[in-house]
Amino acid sequence: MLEIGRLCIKTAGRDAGKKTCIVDIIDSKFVLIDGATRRRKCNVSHLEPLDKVINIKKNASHEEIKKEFLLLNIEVKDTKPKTRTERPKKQRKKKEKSIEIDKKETKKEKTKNPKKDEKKKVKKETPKLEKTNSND
Amino acid sequence: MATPNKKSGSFRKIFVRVITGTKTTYKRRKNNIAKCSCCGKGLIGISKAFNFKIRNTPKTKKKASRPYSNLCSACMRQKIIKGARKNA
Repeated sequence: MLEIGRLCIKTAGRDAGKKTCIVDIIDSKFVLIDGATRRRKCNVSHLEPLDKVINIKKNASHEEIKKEFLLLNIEVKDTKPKTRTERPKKQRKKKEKSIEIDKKETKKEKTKNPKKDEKKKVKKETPKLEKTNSND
Repeated sequence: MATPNKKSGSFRKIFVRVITGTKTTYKRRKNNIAKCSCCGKGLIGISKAFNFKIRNTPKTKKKASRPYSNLCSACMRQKIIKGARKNA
């Protein structure tokens, strides 16, 4: 009953109710299917065979099967293959560092006492008085 | 006294033991499990959360991805096989 090219209806999973054909027989249990469903391995118990057989070779490509299906007026929807996207790499935060440096500078500026600076300036300007001996 | 909106059946009473006696609090009831419209069996993989939570749940958790999502898998299989054999 199950041979290469046999039209079937899938009865399980998200492709249930769609028409497929057998492309390859893997085991006594499993077959390779393709058509309106996705091309995949399938359990024999999840297939309901129909009375039609398509002329295809063993391991026929999806395009060949698609042509045969269109002759029988069965729609085949192709899904776009997914492209792998690269994971975004972590980048060092440069801006934050610059902000931190600025913060440190501001802190240093803040810590400086303006009064102390003024006093130091005054000291530098005024000449040191010579020590006078009291005995003289 | 409970407010009039909490007297409806949509809220359930919860009795909490307190020092003075028992205190009644109210909570919303959860939704019933989704059932197969053919055999009445509970459907697996469908959330029965509160209505306000279901609004934000993804579609994949609200229904099965296979066709006839209102049926269980066994009933769906029977229906597909019957249809295939009728047409043949």
